[in-house]
Amino acid sequence: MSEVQDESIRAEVVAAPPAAPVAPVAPATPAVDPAATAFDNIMSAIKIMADPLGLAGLTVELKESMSKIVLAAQSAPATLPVVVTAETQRLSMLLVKHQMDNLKVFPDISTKITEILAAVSKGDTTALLGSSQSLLSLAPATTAAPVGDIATALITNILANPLLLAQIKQMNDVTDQLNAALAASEITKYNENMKKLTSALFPLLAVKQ
Amino acid sequence: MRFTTTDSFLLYNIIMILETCERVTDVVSLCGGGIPAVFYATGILYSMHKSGKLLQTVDGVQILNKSLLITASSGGTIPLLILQCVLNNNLHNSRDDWFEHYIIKYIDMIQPINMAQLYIASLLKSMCVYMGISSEIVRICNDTINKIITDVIPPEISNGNPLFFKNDTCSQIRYNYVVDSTFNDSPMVSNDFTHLNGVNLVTQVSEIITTCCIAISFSYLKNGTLNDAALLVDNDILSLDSYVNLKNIYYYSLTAYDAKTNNSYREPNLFSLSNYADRSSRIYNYRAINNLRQYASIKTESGHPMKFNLITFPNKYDPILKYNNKIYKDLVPNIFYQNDFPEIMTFLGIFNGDSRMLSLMFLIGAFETMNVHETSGEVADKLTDTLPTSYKQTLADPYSVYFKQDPLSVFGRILFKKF
Repeated sequence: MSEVQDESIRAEVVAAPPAAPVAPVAPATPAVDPAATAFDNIMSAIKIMADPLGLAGLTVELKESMSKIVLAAQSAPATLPVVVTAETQRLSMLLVKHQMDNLKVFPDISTKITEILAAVSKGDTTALLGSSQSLLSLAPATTAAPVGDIATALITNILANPLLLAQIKQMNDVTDQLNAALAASEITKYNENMKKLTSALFPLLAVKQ
Repeated sequence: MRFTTTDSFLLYNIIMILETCERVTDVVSLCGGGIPAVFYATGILYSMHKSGKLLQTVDGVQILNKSLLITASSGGTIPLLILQCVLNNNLHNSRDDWFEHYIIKYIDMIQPINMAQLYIASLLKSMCVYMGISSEIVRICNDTINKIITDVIPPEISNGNPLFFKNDTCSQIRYNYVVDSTFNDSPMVSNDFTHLNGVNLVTQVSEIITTCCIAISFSYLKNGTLNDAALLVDNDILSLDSYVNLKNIYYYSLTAYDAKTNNSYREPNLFSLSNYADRSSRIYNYRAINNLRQYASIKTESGHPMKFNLITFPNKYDPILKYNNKIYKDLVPNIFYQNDFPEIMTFLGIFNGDSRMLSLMFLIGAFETMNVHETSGEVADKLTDTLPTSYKQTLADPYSVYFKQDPLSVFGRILFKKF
């Protein structure tokens, strides 16, 4: 095939998509902005892909980033490289965060474990049972054993094993730091905390075995 | 009849192409599947290297085994591309541990966050191209992509000689991609990169990776076509008829595939967040698998023996103890790759995002390749001798590595172990 496929090469030759034929309109009607139409088309295309994956929030952020980049290109071209780099980094962190959020694992489990730890420290068995059941209800209905039984077993395990309790707390702290790093778009901190989280989880599995 | 210089050159090229085609006996197709596929394919190539199938020595110099055609789509492209760059710059003759030094060490640097940055930079670039705004922004996006790529390839490669692409059917290394064109009624796959001849190596690598590995790209914005050839590759694009001496097709997939039912297995996983209908839609490559299987069968029946080897991800429904290590003893009887991770994590290749999980993918790719080539246990054990320590640690406890990151799953397994 001889057709040019390279996007960077194509960038030099591709003009804005022609606007669809527009019927004559009254002079007061604003002109159709081809770039704006193309932008709407892009957003629609991305939305089709992103929404089923739970990435709807990302399209809003993408629109905001694109606006910043276009503005920088028009008003302060010298800052363009910095703006593109910063927006790329911000969006990529958001992409990872959106995926984490959509898992409904890290944020939810973090909250539930906090509640469990608080209940344990207060000796509040009722709250402990409630939080544990709530934690386990995150699992789908295919759970084989009754949730109450599992919650009871979980409480028993946690209370009977101070080491496990400490490790859960450590994991919880690290998960919070991980989420904070994601929210602040700090890649280095994210990587550091991901490593810490992994380290915290290994002993948990060692307890299991 | 008189031949001109041009005629002679063309004739020479034709002879060379035919010779290459005649030499090829084995086709290896590396699959896609995000970052896990990058590591899976790296393990496959490493295994081939360690078992002496990847290279051959001609006049004291090691070259890519002439009997091989290696093709890759999506994630599988990345290790193959680095391998080609290593060979092209003769780095494989520079040190004994060239594979570990120039490929594994740098593949290890590819983590989900790098991939996310690459996706976003590529998407911003595609948006600017589509909207026809500011070629300067496109140039800066290209610079950003090039910088991301430069950080994960050896300096010997980024400063090395560029690749030269030929538009013939008998190249030994091919990267598949979906053609960006509104002139085709349906998505077309190509492996022609001749338009990249003459640009520097980093730009070549960046363009190939963004063209082959980024599903949402210009073509998606323009006409809704997903830019991922892993969904479409079959014998049409492989041009198998050109290889008159072809004997083996090694087709890798990260999915579990059942030849009897021609479908995927289903298991409502305790912690699965997606239903089966969503998951089954990920099994895109059945058509390609069936076409290849049928092709090999027809060839064999017509007196040209050809074996189609489908290498899928090992799973609990067929837990064969291929090697006496913990991957096959402890892990495989408990896993089903498609269901163990939710869709959202596998999209963009971001799942269980740390290096130990990815090194596990590498090891499974390596051992499955050893197995399909009937490599003995003793030889397979030697595979790990030269691997980085982290890989050996992964091999020592693969079960924990596979299930470690999702805290809810961890809790579930702690509990169920107690029952």
